[in-house]
Amino acid sequence: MPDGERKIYNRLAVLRTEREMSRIDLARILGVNYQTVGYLERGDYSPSLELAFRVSEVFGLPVEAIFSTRPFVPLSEQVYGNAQPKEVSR
Amino acid sequence: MQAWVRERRADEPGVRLSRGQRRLIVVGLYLLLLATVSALAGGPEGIGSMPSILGAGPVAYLIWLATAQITCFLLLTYSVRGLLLGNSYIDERERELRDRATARAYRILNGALALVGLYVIVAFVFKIGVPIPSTAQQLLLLLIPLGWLATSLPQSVLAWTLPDPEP
Repeated sequence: MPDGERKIYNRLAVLRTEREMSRIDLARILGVNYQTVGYLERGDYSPSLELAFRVSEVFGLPVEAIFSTRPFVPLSEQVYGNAQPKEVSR
Repeated sequence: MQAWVRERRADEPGVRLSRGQRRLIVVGLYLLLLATVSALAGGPEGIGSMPSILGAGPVAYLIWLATAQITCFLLLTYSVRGLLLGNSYIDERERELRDRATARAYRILNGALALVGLYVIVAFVFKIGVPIPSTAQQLLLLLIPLGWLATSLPQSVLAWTLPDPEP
């Protein structure tokens, strides 16, 4: 990503894994190279508005559920709250 | 055909070879180009001073230089082949990378031409430095490496700057 460009966070990796899709599968549907999917997932590349809408169509979710300018709260934290890890007795 | 290429491209890596390997090829290509320029700058008089390959003389040396350069160029093209296709075959990220590399290559070429121009002026005025081409034939021969430089620069910039490909 070029210096000074605002990072776009996303949930692509989680959504793709939930649907048991490989990067190549998703790349084929989106019409991009699989390396581009990797760059998107890591947040190293911010998609165009058109690509973001194509992604939202593939997952059937609104764009703001997949992409955000702020880091996403992990799903486990959203569901179970900010629980502290317990010490496991051996 | 276009749809077929696009589908194939989803599976094919856009970038091949590690960054280190690609940089080695770039350095090799430009060292060979430098050797070609220095060999051609001497003109017909300089032919006698050119090294010979297996005793076959200066022509064999020039053929060897050209072959080695073409090999480096093909390797370089292979390493970033996915980013050099037409607009309809590459995705938006790849287009962005290719366009940025082409712009940077243009700036580098401008800088190189300005330096060469400056060198020629200084060499003419102060009569210093290595021999500069004086005949039309020598100048024409030097256009070949210049064209070569212009052609290979975008690929070289891509190969030099892109990170290691994903597994």
